[in-house]
Amino acid sequence: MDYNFTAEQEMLREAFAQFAKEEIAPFAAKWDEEDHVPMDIVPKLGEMGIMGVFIPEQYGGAGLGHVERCIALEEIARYSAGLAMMVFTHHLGAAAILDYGTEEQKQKWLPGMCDGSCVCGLAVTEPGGGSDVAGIKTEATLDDGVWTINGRKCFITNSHCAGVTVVTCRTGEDEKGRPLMSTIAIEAGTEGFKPGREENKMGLKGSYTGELIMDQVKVPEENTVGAAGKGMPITMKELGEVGRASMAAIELGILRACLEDAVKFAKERILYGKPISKLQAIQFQIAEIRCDYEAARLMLYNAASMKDAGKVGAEFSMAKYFTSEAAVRSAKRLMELMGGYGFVNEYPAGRYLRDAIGCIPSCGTSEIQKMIIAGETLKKF
Amino acid sequence: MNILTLLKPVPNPEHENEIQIDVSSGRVIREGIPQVIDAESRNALEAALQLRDKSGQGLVAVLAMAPESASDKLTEALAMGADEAYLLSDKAFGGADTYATSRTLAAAVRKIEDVKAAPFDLILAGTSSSDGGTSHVPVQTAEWLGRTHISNVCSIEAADGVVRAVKRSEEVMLTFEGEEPAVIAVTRDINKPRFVTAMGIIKARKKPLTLWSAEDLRIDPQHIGLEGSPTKPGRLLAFEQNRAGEELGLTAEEAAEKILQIVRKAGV
Amino acid sequence: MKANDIRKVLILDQGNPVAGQLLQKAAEVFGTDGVQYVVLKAHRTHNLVLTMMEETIREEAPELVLLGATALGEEVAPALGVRLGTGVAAHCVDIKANEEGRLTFMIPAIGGRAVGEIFIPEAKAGRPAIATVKPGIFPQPADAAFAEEIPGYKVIDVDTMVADGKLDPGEKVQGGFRMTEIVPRERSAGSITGADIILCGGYGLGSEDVWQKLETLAQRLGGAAACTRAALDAEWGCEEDSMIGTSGKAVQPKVYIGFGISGAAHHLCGITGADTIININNDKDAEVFAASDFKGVFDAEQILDTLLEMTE
Repeated sequence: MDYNFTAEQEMLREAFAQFAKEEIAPFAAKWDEEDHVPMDIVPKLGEMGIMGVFIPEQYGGAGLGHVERCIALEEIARYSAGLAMMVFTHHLGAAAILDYGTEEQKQKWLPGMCDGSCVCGLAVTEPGGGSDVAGIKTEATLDDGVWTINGRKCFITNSHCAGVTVVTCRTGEDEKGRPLMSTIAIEAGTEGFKPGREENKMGLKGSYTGELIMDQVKVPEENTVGAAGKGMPITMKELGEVGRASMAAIELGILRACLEDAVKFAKERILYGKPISKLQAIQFQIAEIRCDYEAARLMLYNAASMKDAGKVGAEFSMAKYFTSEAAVRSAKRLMELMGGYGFVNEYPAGRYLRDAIGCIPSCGTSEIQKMIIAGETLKKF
Repeated sequence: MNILTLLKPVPNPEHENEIQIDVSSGRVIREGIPQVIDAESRNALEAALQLRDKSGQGLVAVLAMAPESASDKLTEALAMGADEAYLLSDKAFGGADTYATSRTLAAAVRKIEDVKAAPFDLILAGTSSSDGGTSHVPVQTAEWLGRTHISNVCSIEAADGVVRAVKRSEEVMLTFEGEEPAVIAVTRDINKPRFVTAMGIIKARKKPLTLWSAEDLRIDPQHIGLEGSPTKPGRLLAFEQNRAGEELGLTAEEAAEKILQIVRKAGV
Repeated sequence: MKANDIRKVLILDQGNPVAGQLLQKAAEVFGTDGVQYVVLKAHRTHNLVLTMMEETIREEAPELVLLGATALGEEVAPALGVRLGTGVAAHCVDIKANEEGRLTFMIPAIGGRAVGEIFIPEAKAGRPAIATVKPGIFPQPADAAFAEEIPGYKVIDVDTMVADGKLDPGEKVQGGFRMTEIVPRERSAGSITGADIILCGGYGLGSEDVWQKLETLAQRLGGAAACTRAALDAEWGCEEDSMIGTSGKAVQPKVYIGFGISGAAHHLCGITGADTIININNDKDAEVFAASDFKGVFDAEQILDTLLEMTE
């Protein structure tokens, strides 16, 4: 049993960390303040191999696994959870194409998704709700080899920048009258397909979140990702594994930011002639943050390595649940530890807290995760 | 162009304060300090990769003398884009000063060149490492090989066997021209080294990393390590400091006021 | 080699003040009684200086060779080491006879955390011990003419020989790199060598913003802004020219004020020549305080802000 990264994973982590330190860290506060989406960094993320980190080499990716993908997201989110949201959603859509798409689809879209020339999106949530996937109203009808799609998606990450979006649509009913879903890829610029409102978010700035409007959008049947009618299991699997792993990785990045900033501040802040790190009350806060970080880290990377080994159960749900709650706790602790400095926007503690809270609903709230965990637990024990 | 880069793994300078020194025993405790490729070595490798790519042919090899545990630093160089790596690792190399180190490196260069049946067009290195910082090794390696050398180089061009290098000295910038083969030691302002990428790391898996011991180099044991070093280290002493260290004041205002007083008193 | 085995010392004069510093120091340590001091004046490119130094050492057979650790000296000294089969002690902060009378070079060691003794036991006449010293490590002679009073003082002037046509550099140095152009370096104002007041920033400054505050204050006080290697590596906009320490410069200001400097020997050996040393560091146990006349346990930025307010 070995809980350490391999030498190669460690090298990769250092490489991503170096990149994040030089290309993300200096700008993260500005992106947040100006709610700016740094599209110019996407080709660089492509060059680093982050956009296509888990996509096989034959499609232009690095051909690595989900552990490596989580490493990339943690390192990005260490400085900008907002930017990490863009990258994670991109991975989510690309994973659907990789796992379920046809060879033609993979050859057509994956190389651009790896080199950063095409950002991918995945659109499920509708005004009617997010986790209630079965309540989806966006409808696609097939006629003579062409889908006609009508509907509206909301709270969609990458809504305003994706070159290809994988959209979950209702395409019929089974014999029992239950809705059948299909996942259909729509390219940006397709007539009738356009982004709507861009949300003004409390946190996770540095990525687009907004509406997608489909009005008589026509795409060829070849754009169906996976078998028609199987959209539901496809979506649930990608959200459940790639999605939750990503959210846990992003929250882990926030946790580490809290940890590192808490230590730095405690050592530098002098009160009564000595750094506050000498005060036990401060040390307790740091110990709590450290434990949260280490526990979250083990849960996430254990789940990711299980996924890479081929089988993962509710572990991603556990990691996502624990990590999102721990990130919020730790960001709050950091703010308390910093006193007045925690509250001013010159320091990033407030951003960490806003981002940590913003992560909770994505890929299922804590309640949803607990339902999944309980479901598996009641069967297993 | 075929270029060899001398690479030096060093303790990460960001962790310098974690190095413990027991002055009484002279023991240095470096455990747990991560190693990194020295900053100027990285610049040298970047320069080598750029020259190779510009010339459109040839290869970049990297060479280091370090404990075997440093092999991941050579893998990192391969991931940056070097084509092959050589690590000289042997207990017998321990305690070498720059004279014995450069002699060992030169022996390895000869061995590599024997196999390739041609000298490297250029050997590049960082001028001064963050730990030792003597600036000796590139020059001395060149001298052992009987090659011409320049250090403190902040710009290199090479074409048709002619190298043009700009050396920075305290007061002037000097442009030199010379013929290959040559040894050039660069400074950090020559370029910004590229990031290691995920694809680079994957490619590095298939690139050759050769490990050589003293025996492989067929080098006289008297010429290496501490024995082959004309300089011998003595005691390690705490840096003697005996200034008073008087408090400036209890508040920032008091301290600042005192500083201004001292400045005024000095008449500047 | 014992220090009193030294009968002849060769010093390279490369056209800057360091030769005088080395000569005065050597005369102090080894005395002038029966010890000869040969100064080779050669303000030329490294190839020619190297050849001339090698020839001179073979002819004069000194036991000790001293060079300034400049871009030129750092290239010539190690090359001489290989050519003559001898050791080179780099960036000495002191040269002395130890308790046993052995010739001892003191050099910064272990990432600058300590000072190590270096010996070159096999050195002898014609295969001399070689040492480099940063300009400014040893004090400047008060009177430039002091050398003339040393009985065994001799100058070999390569520059004059070249100017008089008695020496052809092209003939002396065959092959190798040829200098094709020489241009003065552009540099920003406020050079740290010769500055009366120096504000130096270390890694503890923490950010580019704070570095800029330091620069602003240095300007206001009419001084120069300097940095440590760690601060230079952080790329806040400090320049390599302004780095103090073994891989940078040694300075002798009237007042030195350090901000956020831990106190690595690599850096400290560059400031020993300062009249008054003040340091601000928020760690009350910072090693730098032992090297300070005045200390303040404060956040660097806090003091900079206060000083900026007071000098507005």
